[in-house]
Formats: sequence, structure tokens, C-alpha cells
Amino acid sequence: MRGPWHQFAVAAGVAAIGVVMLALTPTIEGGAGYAGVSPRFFPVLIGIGLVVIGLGLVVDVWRHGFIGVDEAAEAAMPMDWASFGWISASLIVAGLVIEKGGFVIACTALYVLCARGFNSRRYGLNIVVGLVLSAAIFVAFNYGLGMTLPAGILPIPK
Amino acid sequence: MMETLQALMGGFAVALTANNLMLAFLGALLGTAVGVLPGVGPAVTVALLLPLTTKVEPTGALIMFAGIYYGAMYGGSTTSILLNTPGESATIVTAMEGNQMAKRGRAGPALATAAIGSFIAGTLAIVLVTFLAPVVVELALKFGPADYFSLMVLAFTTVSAVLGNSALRGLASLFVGLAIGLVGIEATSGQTRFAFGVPQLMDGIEVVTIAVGLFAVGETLYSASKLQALDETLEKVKGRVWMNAADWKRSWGPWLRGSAIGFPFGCMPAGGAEIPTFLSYAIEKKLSKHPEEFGKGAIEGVAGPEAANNASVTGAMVPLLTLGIPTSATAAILIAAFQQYGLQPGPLLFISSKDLVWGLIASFYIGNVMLVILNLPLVGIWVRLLAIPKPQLYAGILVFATLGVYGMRQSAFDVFLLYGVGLTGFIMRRYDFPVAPVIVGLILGPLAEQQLRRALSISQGDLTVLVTHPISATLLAITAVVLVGPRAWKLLRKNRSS
Repeated sequence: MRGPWHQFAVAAGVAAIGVVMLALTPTIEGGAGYAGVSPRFFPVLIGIGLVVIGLGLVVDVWRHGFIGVDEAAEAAMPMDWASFGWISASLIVAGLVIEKGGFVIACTALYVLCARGFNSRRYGLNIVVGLVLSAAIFVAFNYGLGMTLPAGILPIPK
Repeated sequence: MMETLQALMGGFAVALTANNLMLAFLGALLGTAVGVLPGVGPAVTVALLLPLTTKVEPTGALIMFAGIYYGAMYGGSTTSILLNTPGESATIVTAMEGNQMAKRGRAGPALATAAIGSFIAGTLAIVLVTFLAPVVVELALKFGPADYFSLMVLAFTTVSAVLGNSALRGLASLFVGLAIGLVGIEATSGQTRFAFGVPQLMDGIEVVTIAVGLFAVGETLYSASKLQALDETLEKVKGRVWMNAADWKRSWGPWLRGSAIGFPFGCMPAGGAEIPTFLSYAIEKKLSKHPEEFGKGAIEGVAGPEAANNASVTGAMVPLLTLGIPTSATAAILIAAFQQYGLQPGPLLFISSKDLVWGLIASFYIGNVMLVILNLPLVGIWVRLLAIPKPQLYAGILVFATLGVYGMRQSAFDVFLLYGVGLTGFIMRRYDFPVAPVIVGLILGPLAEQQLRRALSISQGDLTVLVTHPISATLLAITAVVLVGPRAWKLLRKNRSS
């Protein structure tokens, strides 16, 4: 009984990380020194390890699929890609906005988008809660703990 | 013995200053509050709160982290009992039996026996840590670089290959963690590795980003995309909150036995609190006068495993402080907290930073008392945190995740990296890859590499140094047994039966 194609992809992915590492290792500079061990020694070791483990996983999937992964149960609860997309958008928007727009605006947007990913459409409530939460964190960390979170476009004194 | 007591007294002098007492209390409070949130296990709690202490001096900061560490454990058992979502594998048993008790209207006694059991186990274990640590330090001072390297190999193997459904998937997680640990400037040679010309990667990847991404963001993505299917019910705390005479009578045995089982497992540089909790559950089931209640809410099945879990978690301080070996994801992140201050846990820390180490150990005694006080009367407040609706809960978790990750280095790049790591966490969750080995590999990998290079520069490149040193050879032999033993045993039994 073989595992499904996406399990093969995951197993092959592990091996692929190893292959990429091994391909990039020769570009690392530095001599072996007294130790006889250069900065390339560990990367090669780990790269080979990943390739071997990845191939082992491919064999596992070929023989019986991943043990302990119940594909029937997974199929019974299909992926909600829209929710997945909203959550992804929330973090990407936060990353794009945080420096220019500031921490408070970025995290309010993050809050509203993430809540939307969990099917909450009460935008008014979420904007208010998100704003209060991020503003409270901003104040506590900037003034209380001496950390510098970006103020962005909001006219907040340093 | 006298020396140890003196050192401990010195530690109390450090821990009992007003400032450090407040930090310990703050840590315990925050740890419980964050740890109680579903989907946030102890490892994420510690990682999320890591940037909190950038402006606090090391001793106070580490005392606060100790508070966060065991506060998160206490909070986690509350969630397990009331929501049946074990935040980490060590609370699976608590979730199983405690949730059954809660379903039968006995949530109060379940929470009480867990809290008191944790207090007793934690206190007994820290007394043992106090007297065992100096002994292990003496031993650890005899360790050479080759021995350290082999010890780390043993820790790698047990953390990744012993538990879970597949040793191969555990090892895959470990090696991915080791690979991530390589990114950035290598300590011995100063060479940059796998930075792809990105300046942010030259400084390496923050353990906070990896831990929060894999655990919290991965979990958020997973539960959002499977929202309709996952159904959890929050059990109410109703009826008598306090334990009755029969509960006490049935609890004290399991508390003590659980402590006795948990502590040795925690002390071994091999670790994991899962095995002792399962062991304790099995033993209590055997010894109980009410074996028929097991699986339907037997108080022994909560008392024993919770004590075992806490004794093991506290016992894990021995390898952590004396050898610098983390045996769980949470312990690995604690090592990262030390490293933030340029400190490396190990035998030398007991000599160079005596006040810090003993202050930390003393704070465990104090913290345990604080936690039992925080948890018994205040349980109503923690339960209210569990009632936060999912959209608001996960949105809040992501805001804190962004704060934690951005706060470490003030770089938007890390927020994108957080998302990327979250995607990986999602895939790992979906295909049942364990996450803890990634964190342990990431923290311990660079240290292992340093030790190996040190060992080889002493032996002038001769790899046989790993097997000619007796300590190192023994450790590698144990590793081989751990790795091959179970399979060989299985094959042997198969051959015999056929």
C-alpha cells in the first residue's frame, strides 16, 4: 500500500534540502586549520544526513505511507484554503507595513486579517480590539521596557 | 554538603531581594497566563517572552525565565484538563484522565490535585537538584571536548529518535534544525555559511523565530484551515472546587511515586518528560484500588503523571545547568536565553557565575510556592482566558508572535521569515514530524560543532579520539544501543515467534 503523492513530495523535499546544502558547501571559504576540520565539514555531514534520511522517508512512503498519519481522517476534513490565505495575508501585510506604517497599524491589520481567517466578520470589534492591544503593547514596550518599536506614520512621541 | 548548603543560602540571598522576587512573580504570572492559552505550549511561551528581558540584568532575567518556564507548565495542565488539548506531549496523559474528570463535574479536584502534585514534585525535585548538581559539576569538569561531542550526539539521538511514530521523521526534524543552526557566521573560523548574501541571515537565525514560527504560526495555519473539523468543548468548573478527604487519600501516593519516577528521567541528558508520565499512569493503574475508573476520570491518573511531569521538568535543570545539554524544546530556548547574555550553561558557570546559578536554583523553591498560590485561588481567572473565542485568541497570539520576533532584532525581514517558518510548521504538523528536535538541533548543533573541532585540534585531526576516550566511547555505545536496540529487539522477537 503506497502513500499518496504529496507524502512523496514531503519526503523528497527533505532529501532536496540536503542536495542544495551539498551543492552550496564548496562556496564556503576557510581552511581546516589545526583541527583538520574546515567550516565545510559539518555542512557536508548534515547534507549527507538529510539526503540519506530523505531517501529513507521515500522508501517508507513507498512501502506503507507515513505511519501515524491518517490520510482518511485528513480527507474527511478538507483544507480550507481561503482561511489559509487570510492567515498568510495577515503576516505578509504585517511584514510589509511594520517599518513604514509602524507597529500599531501593522499589528491591527494583522489582527483583523487573522480573525477573518477564523471566519470572524465583526470588523468593527476586531479593529478596536486589535488597536487597543497593539497600542497597549507599544506603550508598555517602548516606554516601560525601553525597546524601540517603530512608531511609523502615527504621531507618537519617542 | 556544607558547601552546597552555603551556596544555596547565598542563592536565597540573591533570589529574595525585592527586585528578584518581583521578577520571579511576574515570570510565574505571565508564564501561567500565556501557557494557559490553547495552542501555546511552554516552549512558545518562553520564546514569546524572550524579548521581554532585553533591559533586565542577567540574574534577574533568568530568574524571571525560570518563573515563565514552570508557570507555563502549570498553565498547560489547566488547558489540558479543561479543554483536552495537550499543549505538549508530556501532558497527554493529564489531558486524557483530567478531562474525563472535568466531564463528570470534577474539574475542581482535578485542577487541585494537578497543582498540589506539581508543587510537591517540583519542590522535592529542586531539593534533589540542589544536591545533585554540584556532584555532576565535579564529573563534568573531567569531560573533554570529545566527551562533550559524544554526549551531544546521545542527546540528539534520544530527543529525536526515541519518541514519536517514526524515528526517521524525528531524525529528519533534527537534521533540519542542525542545518538551520549552520546559517550565519561560524564561531571558530569567522566564515559565513548559507547566508545567500542576505545581511540579516549573516547574524544567524533567531531561535525565537523558529520556535514561534513552527509552534504558534504553524498551529494557527493548521487550525484555521481545518476549522470546521476541529471541535473542542470547554469544560466548566462546577461543583466542589476543593479536594475531599478521599481525593487526598488517593492523591498523596501517586504524587510521591510520580516524583520518584519523573526525577531520574529529567536528570538524564537524554530527556523528555513523556516517558515518565506514561510510566506513572501505568503504575497507578496497577496499584489503584479502583482500576475500573481509569479512562473515565481516576484522580490517581492525574495526580501521578502531573507529579512525574513536574519532577522531570525540574530534574532537567541538572543537565541544563551542569552540562549545557537541553533535553526538550523548552530547555533549548532557556539555553538561548542564557546565550543572549553571553553565558553558556555548563560546569564553568557554577564557578564563574556562582550567584547567578544559585540564585536561579533558589528561585525555583520560591517560584513553586508562588505558583501553587497563584493557581489554586485564581483558577477562575485562568479559566476565563480559555473562553476567549478562537478568532480573537489566534489573532492575539499572532500579534504577540510578531512582537516577539520583531522585538529580537527590529527587522521586518524576520516577520517574513516567521511566515516562512510557519509554513514549514504547518507541513510538519500535517505529516506528524516532531518539532522539538528542530529546536534542540538548532541550539545544540553549533555547540556540537565547536566541541568536535576542539577535540580534533587537540588530536590533530584524528577522529578515533571519539572512541579511544573512555567517557566518549561509553556515550557513543549508549547512543548505538538507543538507536539500534529497539529495532534489534523487534527483529529478535519476530524471529523467535516464527
